[in-house]
Amino acid sequence: MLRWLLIVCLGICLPGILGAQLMVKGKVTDETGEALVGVAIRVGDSGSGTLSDLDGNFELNVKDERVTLFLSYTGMRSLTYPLDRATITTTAGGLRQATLSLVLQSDVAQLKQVVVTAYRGAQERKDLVGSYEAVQLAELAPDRPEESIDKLLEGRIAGVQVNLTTGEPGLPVEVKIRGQSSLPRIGSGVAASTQPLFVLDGVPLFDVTETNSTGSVFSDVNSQRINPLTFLNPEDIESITVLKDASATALYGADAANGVVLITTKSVKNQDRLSFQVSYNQGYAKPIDEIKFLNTEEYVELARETLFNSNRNPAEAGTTEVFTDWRALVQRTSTNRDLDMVLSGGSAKGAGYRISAGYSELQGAHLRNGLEQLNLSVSLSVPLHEKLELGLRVNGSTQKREGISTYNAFSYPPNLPVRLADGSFNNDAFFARRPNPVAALEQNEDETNSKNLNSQINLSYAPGTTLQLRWLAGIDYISTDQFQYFSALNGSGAAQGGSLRLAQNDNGQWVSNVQASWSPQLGDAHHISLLGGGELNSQTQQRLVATGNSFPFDDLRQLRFLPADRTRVSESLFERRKASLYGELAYNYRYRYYLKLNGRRDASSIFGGDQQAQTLWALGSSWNISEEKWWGSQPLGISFAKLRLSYGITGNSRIGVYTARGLYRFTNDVYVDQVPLVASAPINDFLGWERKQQANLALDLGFGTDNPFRLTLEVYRNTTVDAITSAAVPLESGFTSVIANAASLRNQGVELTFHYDGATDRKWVYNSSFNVARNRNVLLDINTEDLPATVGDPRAFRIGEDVNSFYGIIFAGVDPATGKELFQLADGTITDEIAPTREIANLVKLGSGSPDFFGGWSHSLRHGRFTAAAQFNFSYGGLLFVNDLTFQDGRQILFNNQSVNQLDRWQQPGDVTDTPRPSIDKPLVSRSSRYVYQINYLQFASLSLNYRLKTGARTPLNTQQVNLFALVNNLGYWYDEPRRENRNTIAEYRFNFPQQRAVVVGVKLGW
Amino acid sequence: MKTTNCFFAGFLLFGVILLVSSGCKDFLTVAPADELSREETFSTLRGTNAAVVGIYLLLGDGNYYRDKMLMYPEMAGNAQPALRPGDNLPGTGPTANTYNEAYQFTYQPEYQDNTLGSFYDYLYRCLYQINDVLANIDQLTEGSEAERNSLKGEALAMRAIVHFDLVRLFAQSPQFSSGANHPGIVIADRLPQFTDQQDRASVAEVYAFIEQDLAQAASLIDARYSQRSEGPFWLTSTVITAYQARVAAYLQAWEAVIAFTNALLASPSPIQAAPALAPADRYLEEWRTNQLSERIFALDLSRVTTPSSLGLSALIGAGISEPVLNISSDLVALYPPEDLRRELLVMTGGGGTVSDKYRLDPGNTRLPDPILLRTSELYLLRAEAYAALGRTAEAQADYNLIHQRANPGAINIDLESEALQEAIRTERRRELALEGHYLFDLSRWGQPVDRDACLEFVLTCDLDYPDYRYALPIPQAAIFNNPNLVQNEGY
Repeated sequence: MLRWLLIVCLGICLPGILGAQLMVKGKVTDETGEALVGVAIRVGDSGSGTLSDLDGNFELNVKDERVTLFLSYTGMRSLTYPLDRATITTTAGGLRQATLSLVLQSDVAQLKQVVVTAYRGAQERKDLVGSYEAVQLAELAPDRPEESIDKLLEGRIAGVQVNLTTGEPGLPVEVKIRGQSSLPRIGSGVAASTQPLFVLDGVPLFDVTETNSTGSVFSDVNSQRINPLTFLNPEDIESITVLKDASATALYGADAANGVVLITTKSVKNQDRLSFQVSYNQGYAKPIDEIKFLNTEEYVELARETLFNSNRNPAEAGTTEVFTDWRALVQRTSTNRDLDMVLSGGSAKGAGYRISAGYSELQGAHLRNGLEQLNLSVSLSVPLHEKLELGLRVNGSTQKREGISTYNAFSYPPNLPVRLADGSFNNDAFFARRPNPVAALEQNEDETNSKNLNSQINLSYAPGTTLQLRWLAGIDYISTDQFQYFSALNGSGAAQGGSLRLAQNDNGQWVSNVQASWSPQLGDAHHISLLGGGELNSQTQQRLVATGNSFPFDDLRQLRFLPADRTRVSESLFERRKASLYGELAYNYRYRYYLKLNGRRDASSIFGGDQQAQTLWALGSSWNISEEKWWGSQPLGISFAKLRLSYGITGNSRIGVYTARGLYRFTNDVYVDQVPLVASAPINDFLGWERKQQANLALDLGFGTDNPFRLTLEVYRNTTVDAITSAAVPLESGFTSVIANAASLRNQGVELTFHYDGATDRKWVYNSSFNVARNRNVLLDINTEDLPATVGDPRAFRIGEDVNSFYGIIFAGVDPATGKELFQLADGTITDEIAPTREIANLVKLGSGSPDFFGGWSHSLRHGRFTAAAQFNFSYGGLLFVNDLTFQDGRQILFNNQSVNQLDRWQQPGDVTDTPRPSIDKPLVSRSSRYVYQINYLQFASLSLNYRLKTGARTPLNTQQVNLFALVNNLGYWYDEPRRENRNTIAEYRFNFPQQRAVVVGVKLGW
Repeated sequence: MKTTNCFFAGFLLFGVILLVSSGCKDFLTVAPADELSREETFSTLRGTNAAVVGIYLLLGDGNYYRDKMLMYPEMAGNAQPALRPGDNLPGTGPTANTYNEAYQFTYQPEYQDNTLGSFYDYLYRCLYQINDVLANIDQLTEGSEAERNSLKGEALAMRAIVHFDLVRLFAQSPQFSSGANHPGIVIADRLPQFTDQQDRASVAEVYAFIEQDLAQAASLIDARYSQRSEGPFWLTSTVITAYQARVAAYLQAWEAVIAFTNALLASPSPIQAAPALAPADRYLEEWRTNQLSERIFALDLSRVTTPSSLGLSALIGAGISEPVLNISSDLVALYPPEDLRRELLVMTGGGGTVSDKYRLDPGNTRLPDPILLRTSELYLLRAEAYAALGRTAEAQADYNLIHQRANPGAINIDLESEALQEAIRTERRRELALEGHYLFDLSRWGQPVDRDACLEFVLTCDLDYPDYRYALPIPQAAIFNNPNLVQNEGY
């Protein structure tokens, strides 16, 4: 209707009015109707323009209506407004006037409509064929005191599991997409990485979890690995896309089997206005759900009883006069501070820049444990030529991590004095074996300094509208230097006379990628798009560990003070190269029927012989049902409906340093005067790439006008064939395990995602997103079934079971007559004998570590200037094996304080309890259902409040944007096992290093 | 338009170069920097030689002869855990643990907190490399046949040595059952297939295999090649014959013991001479300086200088302030007051006794090289053999040679038959104390563990013979991974 009017109007008026002066009056607001102050309004290419005033109003004189207005504002999507769209009135004085009411959309709202895809950049959601889930950084509450963005993803995307194994900052986090698709590592074996591939602006990041260095000089003990995602400043990130099915990931070929996470940094805006933003926040955190241990009185009582039960002298239990709170001595209130500054701007000709600097500091819960980081990032976008665009991003970070071990101080006996009467540290016989943690904190050092340079350049050339060529090159360099000193003055270094470890880890990689895409115009019905490219990737990893001991003076902590024979150096250089070709053919008919075929051929230097190259591919299709003519207008309120189906094969080549042909290593040692070779890896002819067959079926539905309700239901079935397993082999072979493609496993599951985006023009605006996923993992085949790999490890691989299953003996309580631990054998008999508990036949499945279902629910509610957001995560059906509980029952009472639950121990005949009679020589049956707990929980993960102040020239700092916010991270967990007064339950046992609850307040200012 | 074309061409060219180079094989050929592939290793004489030298290195490892293989059998009566103030048994100190369990005979198949558990897999790891050498050496064309044979001989001899150690550790001695039909160990006679789940061979079969390997090794080895440098650190036909003598003694093949020892000792001209006995006047000095002249075979540890891995010295050597082990007073009591060897016993500040055999001088971090064979043992083995065969005079002569070196004033022994046998056994214990023989000897002699000076709170002080604890349990992990293995009876 409007259009008709316009055309009629233009038709009538055009000849007479063209070329006449036009007065434009307008008001700029955001989606909520709030006036925007200082919006830059530019008139065409003229360079003239104005800014909106305090009420969002502006006035402009233009020569006629054939010009276009460009509006730009920080945090908002730029708006292009051709004036010929406006209704023009002529006043009595002959003055021609247009009155505009312009609404700028926030970036977030806009970006929800598009999704970043592999090698293709952003695509509209309705055109997607594969399984993509995108989340804008703003939705992840990035001000939470989490040092890496992978931790923020928890509970946000269906099927993505984030496992926090430690509360120590800066260490790698385990992320799983759609279950465990490679076999887990048991013991010291080699296993393929189960991490997804993280890709930052087209450049894959290092997977630090893949190196199979357990037991070697380069293991975590000597050189701590740093999570590469900690180097990214969340402030620089725009969005994260998780690629789940084969169609979405196939372009990443051999590294795609575990899913792909694309991280997109904030792009450079084409705005000629200079804008500057500062934000600062500060937080405080306290541990929650700490394991409760015995106090001195309880400890001594229990220790005496234990010693008595073991025919030992109860006096060995020690004094009742010392009350040491070890935890209080090594812990503090942890704090975090973050300061970010962003400067951005551009020229009228379309060039733009964005410079951001960030500083963050995290002081961990333990003294002298923390992370400090500085980031500087520069992005440029320069149109070199009308068809040639250059993009450049350089990000540099330095990070200092301090991580002095406090030797699980919380479990030290509470009746040991920290210091002797003369004030010196207590270093008696006990502390020779378990170092005095307070002394260690004062005398030891453990500092890791890391530097990261990540930069990327891309040139894109579009000779016409149908063809686009792009060259992208990136380098990523991480250098980590760790300095560890164990002082001779305490038990940690006394035996060695002080010991120093220097570890240097240099990871460097480059990627170069050339691609062409061609989308010919074939009329209205057929749409074809072709993509082809090639990529070279080279990764090198250089490691150096130098150790020395017997220092003449404890404060001379440099290797040069030692004679050469007290130092030792180990080096390793690993290089991996990969050459790949990839292509994609996408076709759709009238935006209804989509077909996509894509694939990649990877050749890698790490596999030998014929295994070197592998072609992986996927076929995807989708049907936009709601585009069909017969769909009519929203049956059942459904405005959008789409069905997707995909199948493909992806691979996992990330198994670390390996060769299949058998290796001999030159040792550092000589024998007499000869240089020896020692076998380091056995012959293994059958090792190749893991492949994963992925099938996915999905239904997307949107309800109501503009789809405020969106629902996605996905069903998948992924089969990993040729899974790499570290198969236990007869020890007589000379090895305890070998790697072989000798297993296959399946993950199948259902994912449901539900979004509600409330209308933005209401007084109360509510958004919500809910997701839940169920994944079932089954081991289909393995060469060596039924072999629990290492003694004491409850995990084993059995066909037909989940690969994360636990096996063990069933704990049958405590014999009221004797206080002995009872076990139920496979044939149902109850025994207190230990020998049968070691027989494989008596080990039954106790459950699985994988949850039955898990997910998250987030909410945000806006009212005027207030926004509140909350995030909940939940998990049901998983089990946890609490290994540390095997130190209980008095077994190590002289070395470890015990859980308060030990107070319930059996004491005399007739006592009915689940805690056996404590004694020092009590045999240990670690594979027992007694140590297995259900973890069913609901976590209140975060709650945040944001208040936007009124802004403009009237405010003291003349700011355009002032936000105040406060948030609470990790408010708490509800478990279905009831908590018990003065006893520990799964809530306490779940994390050895307790979780923190943090409160953060902050302010954001923008000019 | 012209500039556009130029850009376009340059752009494409760059891409083409990249793609062409990706097709290039060289880009993908990356060799590990500090490792050699197996093919490369065995394609040259030099590589094969280095792999053989690697086996010597493996034998001297901390898991094997650096200390454990020598100290474990001594815990049955010659050595005991050193108690420190505040310590009680069972000790829980970081290093004492291993030997506490050996001392108290409290092993479990799970080998919890017990580094002796690595014996099993480590010794088979050695056998992997040995068998890999043997599997490849016949394809080698470099070098002379004699040289290749010599390398093969060394590998065969080492295969015998490792099997001999495995069967002594994990099985009862051949005398345990008639025909030695009781379970021995899995014989590793070829490169393993990971799917193999082999049964334990009988002790008789294992010994037959050892004898066969030694005999073949003796015929192949050539000291021109195997003796790569001066010193007793390399296998030669002398070393192999000495091993043959010891293995024969374990089998109580006394005639063979005499034949093998005579080949090394017989005067006037032995076929291959073992070094002369260390003279009495230099005996102590040579021990203390790691220069014992009568060594037949020792492992070079000159590379091991890190104080934290001081091996035998840290355990029980003179010069260490806090030894992990002490010499048992049972052993001390065996030496007559005038016995030269008593001077090798050194009191520590803490009141314990340690040994000058494994002395560590301040400022000298060179470890004493573990001795696997020396001439004194040959005389003692021959004495045992003569005594067993009733050749009393010859037995007495060999006994006197060893006993009188340490006790110059001692009169000639006049004991006969069983009393003589007992005296020879005691002399063997005195002379070879702390050198890795005692429990193995008790086991082959069928004698009980009889300790007078056990520490307080010890769970097991004495063992009657036979007892299952004369053999270590097969590790539970080995049984899990190879269900065909049978655990030693009793565990």
